[in-house]
Amino acid sequence: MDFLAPTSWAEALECKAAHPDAVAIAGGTDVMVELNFDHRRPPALLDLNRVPELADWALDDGRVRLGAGVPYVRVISELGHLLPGLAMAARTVGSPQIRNRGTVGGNLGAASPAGDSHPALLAAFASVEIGSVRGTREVPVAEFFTGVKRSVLEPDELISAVLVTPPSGPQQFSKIGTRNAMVIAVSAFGFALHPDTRTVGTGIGSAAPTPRPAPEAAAFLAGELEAAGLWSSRGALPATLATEFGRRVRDAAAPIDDVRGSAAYRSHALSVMARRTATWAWDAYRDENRSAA
Amino acid sequence: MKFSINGVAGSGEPQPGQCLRTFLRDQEHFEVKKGCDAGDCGACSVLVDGALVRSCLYPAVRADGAEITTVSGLGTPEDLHPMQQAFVDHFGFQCGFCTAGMIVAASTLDSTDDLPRRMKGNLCRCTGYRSVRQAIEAGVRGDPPRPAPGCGVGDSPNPPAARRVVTGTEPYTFDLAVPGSLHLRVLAAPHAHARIRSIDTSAAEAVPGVVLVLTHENTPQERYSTGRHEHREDDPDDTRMLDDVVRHVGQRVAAVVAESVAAAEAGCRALVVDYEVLPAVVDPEEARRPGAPLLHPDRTPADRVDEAGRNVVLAVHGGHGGDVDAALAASAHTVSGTWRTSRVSHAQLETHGAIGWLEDDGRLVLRASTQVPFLTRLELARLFGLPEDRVRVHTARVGGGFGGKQEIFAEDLVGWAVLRTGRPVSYELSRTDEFQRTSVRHPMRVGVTLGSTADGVLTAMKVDVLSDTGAYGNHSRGVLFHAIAESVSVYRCPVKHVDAEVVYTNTVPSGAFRGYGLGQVILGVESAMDELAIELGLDPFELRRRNVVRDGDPLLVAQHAEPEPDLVWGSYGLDQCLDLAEEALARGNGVEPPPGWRVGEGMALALITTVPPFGHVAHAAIHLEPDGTYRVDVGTVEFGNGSQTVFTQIVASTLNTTVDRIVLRVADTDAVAYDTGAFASAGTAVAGKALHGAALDLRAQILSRADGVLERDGVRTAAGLVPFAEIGPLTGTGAEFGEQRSLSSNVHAVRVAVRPETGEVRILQSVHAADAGTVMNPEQCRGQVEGGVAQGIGSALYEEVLIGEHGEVLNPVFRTYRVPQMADIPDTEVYFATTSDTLGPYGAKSMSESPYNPVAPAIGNAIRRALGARPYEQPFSRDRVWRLTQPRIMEP
Repeated sequence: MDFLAPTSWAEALECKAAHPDAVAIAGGTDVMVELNFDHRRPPALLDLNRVPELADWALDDGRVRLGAGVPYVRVISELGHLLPGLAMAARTVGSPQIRNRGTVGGNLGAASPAGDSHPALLAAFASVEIGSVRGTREVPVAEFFTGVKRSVLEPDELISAVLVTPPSGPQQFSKIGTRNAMVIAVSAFGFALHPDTRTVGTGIGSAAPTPRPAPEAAAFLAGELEAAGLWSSRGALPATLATEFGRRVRDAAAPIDDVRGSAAYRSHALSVMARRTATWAWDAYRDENRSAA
Repeated sequence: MKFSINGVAGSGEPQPGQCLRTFLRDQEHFEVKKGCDAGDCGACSVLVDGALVRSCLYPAVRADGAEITTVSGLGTPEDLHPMQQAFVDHFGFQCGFCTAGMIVAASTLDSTDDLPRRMKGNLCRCTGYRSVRQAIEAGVRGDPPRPAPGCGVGDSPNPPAARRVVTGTEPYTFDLAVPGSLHLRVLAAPHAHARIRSIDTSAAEAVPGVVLVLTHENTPQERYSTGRHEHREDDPDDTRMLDDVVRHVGQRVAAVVAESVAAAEAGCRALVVDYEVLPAVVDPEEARRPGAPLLHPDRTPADRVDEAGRNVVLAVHGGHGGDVDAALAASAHTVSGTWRTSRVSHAQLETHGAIGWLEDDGRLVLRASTQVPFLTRLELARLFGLPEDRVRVHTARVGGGFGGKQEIFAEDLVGWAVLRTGRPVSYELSRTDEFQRTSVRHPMRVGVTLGSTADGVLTAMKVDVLSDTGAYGNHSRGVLFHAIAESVSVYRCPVKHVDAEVVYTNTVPSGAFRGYGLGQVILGVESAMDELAIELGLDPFELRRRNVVRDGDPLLVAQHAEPEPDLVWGSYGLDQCLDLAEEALARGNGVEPPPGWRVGEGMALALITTVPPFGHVAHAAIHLEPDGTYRVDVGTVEFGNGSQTVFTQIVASTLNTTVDRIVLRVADTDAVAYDTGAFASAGTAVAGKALHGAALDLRAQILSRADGVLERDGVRTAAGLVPFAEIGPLTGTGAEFGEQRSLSSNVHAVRVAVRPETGEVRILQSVHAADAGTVMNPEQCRGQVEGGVAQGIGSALYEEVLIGEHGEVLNPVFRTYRVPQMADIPDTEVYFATTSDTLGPYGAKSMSESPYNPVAPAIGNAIRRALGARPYEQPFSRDRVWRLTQPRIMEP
């Protein structure tokens, strides 16, 4: 097994082009498990730890450009205001040891349906910036995942960054596990209010083969808010509306019975989380108005 | 590459893909432990340039130029880091295997706010976390060291190894560099049931570095049991080292011995096995139906398999007092239910394994992670056709056991490979091996029907048990007998009947596990008692008081009308336990439920014998040296049970000396003549008693040479102090055979809050009352109780080894098998009854398995009272509890 350790983004892309079957490794929190358990014996590992271009975040043309190698611990400490939903999700990731090493880019690359970042990124309408020696492309997170642990990444491509517009409204993240300090979610949900476009963002985790949004439920909620004039009046979110939203989110999921829980429970949990997160976010939106007034 | 470890510069080249954990261990930094190698347990935590990481997930090559700090770099036994000191002072460990990583993680904390979340990366299986939490709080505060404790019986001295454990300098099984050692790895069966037509080993043998391939064709084919007992006839002879039939997914098919782990693994991949796949049965009810696939059709009662034609290893059917159905029909009240328990993994953080080598004279030596070195030696000598004295088995400190190491899961292959190659051989199981190939708690289906008078006096008791032993019968018979013993005999009831069977299925074998089957049946009996209390409108404590055995009552299991003659009430504390738990629960603890959650209280009791039936043997010797040192030889193993601490206390008290004058040698077949082993809670009651006998013997010998008062430096006589140099050397010996058994009791009570919407259960108050007789070491004994309670909570709420339709383990890693974290375990108020036992040393009784037994039913009873609906299936997961709140889709 070769260990490729490029020290620049250009060199990384050249490595990946020359060794398309090399496995990219960021924090190592997924890949090393597979190596330790002998589940995977790739011909080469491509270590992205020393690529400086991946190691930071910046505001770029009105968007946050989050380098693929930024660990969760920095998302939590530095990006709570710009990526609130993602920061909330990052707090629930693994343990301190994992948060020190794991990255959003690595989470995307692994493309697990249970990845903690994904619901928050979906709700925030984020995009994935993908590079190769052929050039750079941008894929909305909602179109990034193609199946269980599969994504649109071509063999010569690497994830360089996540691009997210700073929020115009409150965001929420909720995860139901099997115990108090959960590590792996039974199901998870990301929610974002986008008052600037009067839209709602949603992201479902651990309840379908891929992380996915609930576009019908989101459009329904945004439309009902519009129809009732609530975006402007910032009146209370009717409980029946929140419950119906939860029901529609649940219907957007396709969970199965597995080691994390029964399909019935995971669907139910999703409806509860969707209802709760929408209510929390809407209450925060109303509070914003009050504090502004 | 270059790096520094604990301030010492080093260099080396890691292998491709190697993680930092194995690289550090290659550098003989054995303080970096392996619990899972999947980033879930935290035992391998180290600091890299000051940042806390899991070294199992850290590519070793990234350490180039880095400064690495392990627990041994934080402090030394002579100069402890404040966090290490705090872990010593607060008894923040039992087996200590998680401690190195735990302390490294804790050393990075500057605040204890939200400690459970900060420490969620570190699992402990022994303590239940209360002592760990207090240690971390003290360490962060920088508390001064605790004043030196007393060291006699009733004091709370620290374990003798404490300062080494917290600095990572106490060696465990694999913390030993063996030059020239070969590595053994095993090929796992992909089928639940198959006959091996052939194994082509040629490609494997051609892998560079492969030295030996073992299959059923070149290993002893005599049948034995992996489970070990004082009497080998307690277990069925149904297992071969390597068999030509595989009976569960993950069973050993072949073993490859090679110069490196990588070569051994490559050799396993190169084996070509031709299987004839056979029909399999996964469900225990199906397994005993006519026409079911038979797992061991050729075994007979002579092999201790009662009815191989029905997959039944042991059947117990019987009753006394008359016709139970008639008695139930005539009862004023009856209640009935069927409960199910899950497979549970011991999840001791040190996996099984052994290192073996030949001594110069050719004697086989095994250093194993075992609770039973003597029993292992006996069986291996038999299997290999060697005289017993040609095999030596010993342990270092063992990183947890809980019954899972009362088995031979590695020593046989290692021993045989050593004999075949003449070279040292090492075999360390992975965490996934543990789940697939060792043993789990027997899952049981327990039906209980109770009848009572209008006043709540039991009239009839009917118990129906179906136990699933998986593919092999190790411990299946003993566990079933134990399961239907004190769970039933604790109640006075004129008519009792039991139907109990244990069956084979094509699944991972079940085995010995803390409580040894009692907890499963107690779940049924104590839940049914709770239902009866509800039916009668009686307080559950009161219902117990009306029906439990009282001091001196005969203990009657269902299948015998007479009590077993070796059972004696050496002391009785069940009444005190009921009172203590009831009072504490009534006092409350001020913890309020969150708004909208429903609250319920529940309790359950448990009784257990202090020694296993049919004898348990221990020998001990104490040698007085002329300088006043006492060298103590005991056969039993230290694996977190605290027996070494108690041994030093017994010696210190009896011989009026101090711990620094006591040198222990334990767990070595060379140390003493024979010791049955560290199981069945026998450490204090049996080995401790043998040692007490040795101490009394030695004391008498000393005082026969100098008449006076025994002191630390000699004997004070009328003529002055006679130093030991004028008295010794002398040797005192003692032995105990476990010919009589007393009883310990436990009562657990909880107040829980349940959130109907999500099925979440939060324990608001947890109370445990225990009758341990004289409490030898209150801090340690409290830790044993807390640890048992924590495992009970894990079984009750979280833990389940899931089996797929083809019999495979679906969750063989800690990420999906949920060992409780700090956030999952509340503090438990622990109360001890004040009794003194006539059998045990200094009046002590056993207290290591029993705290587990009443926990799950107490929690289930509390959920029942919170929701008005009873959970019948363990674990009472959020999923299942939520379903209890849903109309129409309720289970049983």
